[in-house]
Amino acid sequence: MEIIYLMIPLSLLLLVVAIWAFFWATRSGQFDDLDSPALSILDDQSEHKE
Amino acid sequence: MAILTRPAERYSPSIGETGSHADESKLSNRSICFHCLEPMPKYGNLTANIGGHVHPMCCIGCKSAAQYIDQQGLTKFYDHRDRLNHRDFFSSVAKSVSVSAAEAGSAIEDQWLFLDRKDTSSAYVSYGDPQYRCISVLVEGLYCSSCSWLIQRALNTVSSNIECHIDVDSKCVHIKVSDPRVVFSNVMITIAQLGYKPTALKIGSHSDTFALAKTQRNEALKRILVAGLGMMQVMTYATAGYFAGNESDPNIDSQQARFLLLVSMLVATVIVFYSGKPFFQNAWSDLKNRHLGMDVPISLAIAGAYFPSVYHVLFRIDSHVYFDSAVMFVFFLSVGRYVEMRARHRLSGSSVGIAGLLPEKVRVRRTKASKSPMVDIAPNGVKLGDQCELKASEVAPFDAKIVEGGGQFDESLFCGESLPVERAAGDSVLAGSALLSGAVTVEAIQTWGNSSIAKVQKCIQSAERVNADEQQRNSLLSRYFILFTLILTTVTAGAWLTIDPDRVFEVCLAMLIATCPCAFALAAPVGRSAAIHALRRCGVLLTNNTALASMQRVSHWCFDKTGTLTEGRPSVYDVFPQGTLSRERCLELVACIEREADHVLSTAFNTIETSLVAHNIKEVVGSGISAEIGQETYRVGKRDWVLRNQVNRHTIPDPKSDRTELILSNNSNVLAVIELTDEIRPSAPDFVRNLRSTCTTVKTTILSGDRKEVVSKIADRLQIADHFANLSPSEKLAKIDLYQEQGEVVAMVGDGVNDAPVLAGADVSIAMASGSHLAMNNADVILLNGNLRNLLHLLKVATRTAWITRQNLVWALLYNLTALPLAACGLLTPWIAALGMSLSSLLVVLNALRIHQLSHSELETN
Repeated sequence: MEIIYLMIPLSLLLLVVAIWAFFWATRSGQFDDLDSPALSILDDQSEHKE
Repeated sequence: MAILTRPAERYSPSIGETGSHADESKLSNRSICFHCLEPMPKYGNLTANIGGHVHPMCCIGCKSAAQYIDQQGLTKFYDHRDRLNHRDFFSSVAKSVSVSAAEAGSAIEDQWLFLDRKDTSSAYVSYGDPQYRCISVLVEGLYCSSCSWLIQRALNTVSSNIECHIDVDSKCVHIKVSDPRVVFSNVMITIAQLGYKPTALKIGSHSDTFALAKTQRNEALKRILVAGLGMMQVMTYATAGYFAGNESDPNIDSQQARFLLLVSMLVATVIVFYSGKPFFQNAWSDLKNRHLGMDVPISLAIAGAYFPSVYHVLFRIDSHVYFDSAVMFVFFLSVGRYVEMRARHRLSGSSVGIAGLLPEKVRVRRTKASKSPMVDIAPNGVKLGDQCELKASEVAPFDAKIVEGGGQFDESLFCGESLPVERAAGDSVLAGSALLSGAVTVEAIQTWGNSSIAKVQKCIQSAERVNADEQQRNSLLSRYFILFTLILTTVTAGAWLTIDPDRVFEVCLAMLIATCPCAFALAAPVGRSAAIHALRRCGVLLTNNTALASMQRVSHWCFDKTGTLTEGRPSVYDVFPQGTLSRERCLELVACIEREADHVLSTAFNTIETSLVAHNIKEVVGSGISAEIGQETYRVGKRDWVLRNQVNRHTIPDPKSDRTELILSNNSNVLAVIELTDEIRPSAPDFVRNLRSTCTTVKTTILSGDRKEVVSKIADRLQIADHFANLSPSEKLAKIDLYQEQGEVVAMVGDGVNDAPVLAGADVSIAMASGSHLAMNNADVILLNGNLRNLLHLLKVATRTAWITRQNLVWALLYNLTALPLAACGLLTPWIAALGMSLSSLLVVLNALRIHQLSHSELETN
């Protein structure tokens, strides 16, 4: 079980990375509008076809 | 293309017939405007070719918005709107605004040029990086995601380099441009052409509250994530820790168990101090203010779980650690707070005050000062005798007397008068009245403190205070509950000291966590949040927390007339041809002439399309217009003026008191009498009838500032027995006060500035989105599409919300009442208490979601 001395710090590192990524997403406005991006996928006429 | 035609087929079944021109006028009587989905007016022949199909349009505003959308290749928008089920409200919003945009006419292009000039733009445009320019725009009429989709796409057609963030909650569009060729006036025009009403926001001005709300939301999200991810880690370590004490399990030795403890302490420390910070801060400020808020026992429980555990780990005391309970507690509480905060932020109150109705600066001539007679002042700096000149479409900045000139004023904001009023030299005008045509010089006759606007403002403030008192009473109740749990915990602690001193701490902790009134506190905000969401879908915006609760107790509905029960703008009521010309032909002639005029009555003819061209147009202010069409000269205007200019004196029917008439004549004959009226909203009779049938005891009253005859006519048609005319804003308020003294719960529906005080004073106030800002600011509910039937939905949702919230409260109470004795007897460990608390909260949330779903299916069937 000595492996936990490596794995747990590693998992913590991963946690820090995840939190950093999330903070970045919040800062860059990814959570500002949660409704309209869901609709863009319904838009089958994409710009380059027009 | 097949998809594109779908909405049209659904809303106007007879659309196939629109192909030939002859059918159009017949068809328009029974179909719906394709753009705004409101019924077509009685006399209207507008159509637009959208996506290859001809669709009926109710007015020029709708038509130009729809055509613009078509030109930009954005017809998908009509599709989205259908799919989203926002169809009932969204575009009617765009309509009310687009009508005014069409009225503004050519002014629309010049209006935003100040954003491109170096000297005037600095207050609005910020430069992030040297190559970036940013601007924030408040977009009125932006209410849903298909609106934001439309704006985003339209702006991309201006330039592909425009980056925009659209915040639907705050109705703000934040635009960032790197291309130096993009001019902001162009951006504004694009938004306006879609049918919205954009306003550039000054840097750091009233966007502050929105920005603050956004930062708060983002901060809360970060806290939740840190708590959530951290909680999972700590739980994992704790589970491992449960086996560590077990001698039979050789896999984890005490060295490793201690490592796990240290790691969980590390993670828990981050969570408690980062995610839990707001609770400690609030508790601290509560204590400083000698006020017992809910955060006090919460902080006690978090600190009580965390600090002793740290002590135990550091000093290697073999005892229980409660990091898992602490972080779970923080996480679930943060989620609860977030839900509550969202509900609060979604209340779409705007921050535009009464002064926003007036121009920011006016140039006046100080008649009583010898030096520098021309000064720029704000309206509240006005002195007696100040004079200023008003041109058409400007707003009187203070209560004044006309010293020179004359013209038509729109006084609907203050006195509810539905039709333009003639004012000449010597007459007085109220601040906020808009000059529609003509030019006048006015002189101030009141100082700011005595002006009508300041009086309305005072009325509003005094009415608001009453509501604030009520909220205070509610918070008192929860304070007693908290005090009760704290005392009970102390008593239990005392009891356990004598029974088993070792377990005192554990028991107290379990009690604090179990009694934490979480599900209790969540029940109301979660229900409200679900209701807000459900209502938003049918075009009803809530701006106040207490409105839903008071809604179902309403025993007396009061209505304003102009703009509430009626459309608030003139429309063609009937046409009486006097000669050989057909009605359609007469209307076409009038529409052609009136198109060039710019007074309120001319908007009634926005619904008629004509290919005729008028020449030699002469407008006689206050009388009428003459113009040449083809070989003939026509006159449209008041009876006296037309008859005076006329050779052949006809006998024409006497005017009716409650309608405005226009007479059309050529050089020799009267051709038609056209009656204009401020038509009752189509949804009004239906609503009043339904209201009576659903709750038979409810009373209805009309409170109007308009003339007696007009009000009684409308009251007759709606079968509302009680009606009062000629009321001033303060008299309206007095009426409502009287009803409230008689123990009635009053709902007020209104739209104008004159309704603002009464809206602030009513138990539930509902404003029309097409009305004034001031009315909306003081309303608990904003009705987006002017469809009064949606108020019935509001009633239904309010009743259901109250019922489900009561279920939730009962459940939370039952849970707390069972958990408390169990915890006090030492049967609950802290982590089980935390789990139970979370589960009960979850149940409350899931139950509240039913409000949303039920109302959804019901709206579908309607």
